[in-house]
Amino acid sequence: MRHSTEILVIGGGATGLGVACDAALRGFKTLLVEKGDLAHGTSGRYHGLLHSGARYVVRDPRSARECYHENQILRKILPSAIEDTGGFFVALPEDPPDYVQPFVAGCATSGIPIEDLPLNIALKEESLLNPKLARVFRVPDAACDSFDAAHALMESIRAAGGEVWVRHKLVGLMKSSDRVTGAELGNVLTGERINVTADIVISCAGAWAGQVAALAGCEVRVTPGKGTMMAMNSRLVNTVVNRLKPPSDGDILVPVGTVAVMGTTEIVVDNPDQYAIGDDEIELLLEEGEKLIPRFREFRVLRAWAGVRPLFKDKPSPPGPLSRSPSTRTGEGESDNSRLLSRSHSILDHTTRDGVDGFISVVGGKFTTFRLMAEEALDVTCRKLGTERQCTTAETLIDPPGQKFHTLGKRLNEIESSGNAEVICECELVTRAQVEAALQRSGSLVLNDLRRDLRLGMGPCQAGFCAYRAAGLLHTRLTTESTETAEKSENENSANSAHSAVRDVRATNSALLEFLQERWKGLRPVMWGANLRQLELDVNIYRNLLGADRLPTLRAPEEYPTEKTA
Amino acid sequence: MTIQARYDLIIVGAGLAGLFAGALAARRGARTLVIARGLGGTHIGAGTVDVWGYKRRQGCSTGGPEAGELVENPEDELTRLEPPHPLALAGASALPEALAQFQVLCEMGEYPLMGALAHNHILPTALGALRPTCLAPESFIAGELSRAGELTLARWPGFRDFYADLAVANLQAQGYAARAVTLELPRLPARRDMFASDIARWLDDAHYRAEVAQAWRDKLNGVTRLGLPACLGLERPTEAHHDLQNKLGVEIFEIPILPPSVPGMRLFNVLRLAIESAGGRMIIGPGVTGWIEDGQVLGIIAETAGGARRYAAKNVIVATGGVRHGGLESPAKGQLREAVFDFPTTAPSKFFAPLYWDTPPYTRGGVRVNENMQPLTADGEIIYANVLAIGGLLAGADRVGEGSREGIDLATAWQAVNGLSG
Repeated sequence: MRHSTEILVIGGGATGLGVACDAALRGFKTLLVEKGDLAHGTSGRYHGLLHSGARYVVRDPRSARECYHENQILRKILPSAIEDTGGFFVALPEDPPDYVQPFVAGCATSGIPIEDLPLNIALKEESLLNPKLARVFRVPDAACDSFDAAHALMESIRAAGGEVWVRHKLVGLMKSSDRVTGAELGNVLTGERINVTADIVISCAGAWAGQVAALAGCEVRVTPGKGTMMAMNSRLVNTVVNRLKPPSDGDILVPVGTVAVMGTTEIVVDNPDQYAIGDDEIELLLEEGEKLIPRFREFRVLRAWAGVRPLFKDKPSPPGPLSRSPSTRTGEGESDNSRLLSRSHSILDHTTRDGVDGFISVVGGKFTTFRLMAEEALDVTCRKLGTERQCTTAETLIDPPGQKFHTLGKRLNEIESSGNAEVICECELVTRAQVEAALQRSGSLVLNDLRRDLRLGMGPCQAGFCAYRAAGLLHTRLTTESTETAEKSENENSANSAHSAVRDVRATNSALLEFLQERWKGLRPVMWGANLRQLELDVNIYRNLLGADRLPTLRAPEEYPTEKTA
Repeated sequence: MTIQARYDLIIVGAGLAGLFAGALAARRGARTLVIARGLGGTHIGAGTVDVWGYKRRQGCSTGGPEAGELVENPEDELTRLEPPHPLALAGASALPEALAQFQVLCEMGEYPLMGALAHNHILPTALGALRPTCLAPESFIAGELSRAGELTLARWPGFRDFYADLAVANLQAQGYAARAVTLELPRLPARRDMFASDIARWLDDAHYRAEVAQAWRDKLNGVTRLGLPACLGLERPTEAHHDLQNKLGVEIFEIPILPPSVPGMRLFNVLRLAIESAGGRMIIGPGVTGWIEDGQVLGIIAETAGGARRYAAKNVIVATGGVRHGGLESPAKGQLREAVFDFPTTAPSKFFAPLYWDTPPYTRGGVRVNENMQPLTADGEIIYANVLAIGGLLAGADRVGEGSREGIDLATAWQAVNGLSG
């Protein structure tokens, strides 16, 4: 199959979605491709903190200023994914007192408004916090649900005429002499190959950007910095809590939806696809959590996961022409300590950098600044294409109107005001109608994608009850589609329909096992106490009661098109 | 702290093992108390007695998509078992005698369990997988997959816990003749999701069954055996089953579904009745710890809302179950702790397997016992002469991978109670 577009964006994380959104709004014919689901990589594995920038004021003032600027913009254009929790920076007695002065000064320089908060007020607002805190400052942090943000961005791209293809893997980049002319894609689910020609290919592959650039013959060195975090089963705080000290492991606690996320560790890994979680990382997070909230260990941990930060450190002396576009810059830190690598981003124009035309890499950066990265990437793109089109993303509402960030109460209200709801996932209050609509909308056969869409299976029962129900609904969807296809086809015969029935049920069984395996991966690092008891209940349901592990499947679970953890 | 009462035997735990032990002891005249923090495993199981369902594969203890074949005759597999498997410790005669006695109790409770140790039923699950089990309620038997004849499974619109088409498609994919038929449940209320137990209570009512029969009768042309989610009556299930079969003129079989398990609740009711009608007592609610003085176990201490209370007993049986039931706790990763007496447990250093459906090594961990079901120290010493442990907290078995859970519960309960009365 062939397809052509003006702008081809590689990667469906926040950066890629932001870039595609900006491109579509500037009137380019735009296609975004993603090998997994939206926010499948680092964006879907982040802690949910929309930075005020205060975290970076001392060491990385440019990042700090960018964060604050973008924080203010995103609150306006993406309200459905952002909860204005506010944030605290808290100093424990053991934290370095000499960090306070540069912090306060840095916030002033970077224009970030802070408030020195009396301890009794802070404890009144967040009663679980350690009462021995030495200092508390209030900052304009917020919480952002990256799944919600991704979905809103996708809607925006589509509304502006762009296209988003998930589960399409980049197989190769098409080149003609020194120019990238498009990409060869593979549909992960069907195996179909598609050639897409494009005027400009923009790589937004995050920690995988080096792999994409290599396909164009360019060297881009991205250091994958693994960060492990864990979701606590309850919302222990309503305010983002940061430690008032140089950024370090286990120093933030972010309320996101129904949970609180404790993060993060930072370990440089060789390969962005390998991020097994070590027991020592969990222990470290528990230990640091204990400092923020006494008896932290006694709260139930819901799940642990790791993401890979795309830390960019450019080649010391880049070959080729040295003329760079004004907005292009390199990472600042050149230290081996990845905490000191800049969280700032770079737009690499490979024409000037490597002599390869038609190809741009957006590297580094962080969730909070995705819109700015997109704006800069499209400015470079416009210059390359010799066209002048203004960026409008800072003023364009990304949201479908009327939506608000996810809260359980909102779903409960909807269920109570509707008729027979058929709640498929009791923990997250997901209804049958929502699951059916999501299956139809996404066309995805992967139950795990429903988790990103709907939070299905993300609650304390960890899919024990909803996985079977969702499998039943997925099967209905598949057989309905097969019937519709057969009705359209003139060569319908019973052998075909028997064949498609077997394929549909095998696909359903595979989806069920893969969903359960995905849940298990996140639980294994935190498997003790109530979690282990819950696991036994679930395993007894799926293995003993239902026999899910003895059904005919479509593929071995190891072939599931997702990342592998070592 | 006053002593509330003195018993010959206190059983801690109200799952299948504890209830069966309680019924056996009470019927033999022992002053018996069954005390438990909550309801036991009956309410979340299939409501069948699984004794040995899957052949062990050479060099591989795990299940998984290529799990061992189904076992037709559990007796064959059991002869090869060795300690520390609880079924081997309980001895060759314990299991058949326990099963026979359990069938007698169920018969008395007007809820007959069908089957024998030499033959597994192969029954369909709610996903359409094949599930081997030794004893099953009479209301399950028409689903036997070794029998010829198409199975018809009921779609219940508006009921979220059963997906007939998925089960049918899986049965077909494995070569069984099956189809689905839509049967509306009359008077299904809007605005509230029904659990199996709700519908089971409705179907206890003969008037409701008449309404059901009226609504379904015309839709069952050509149906020989009809599969329903296991909701066919809770208090009077046998009556409900027979009555609906007669009214519809087809054989009906039940398929166990997501918890709460109606067939399991029926077993709970049968055993509770057996205990109480034999003069035994049941207390559900308090957490329990051992009452130990000078190294002797004098009974148990129950943490009630009104404070701690002591119950004296000559003997104590711990039947609190495995991790799923709280008999074993995991206070930190890689640890297993026995909840009532803090008995030593065997727990492997490697706790988990990479895949969800592989048997994690820790499930073989638990409390080690001797042939009399007396817990042992790591050196093999008896810990307390008058305290026994049975059922899910015992080490040495992979209950899910073997399909052996209820067999272990009943055989070890039988062995323990026999030892005390002998």
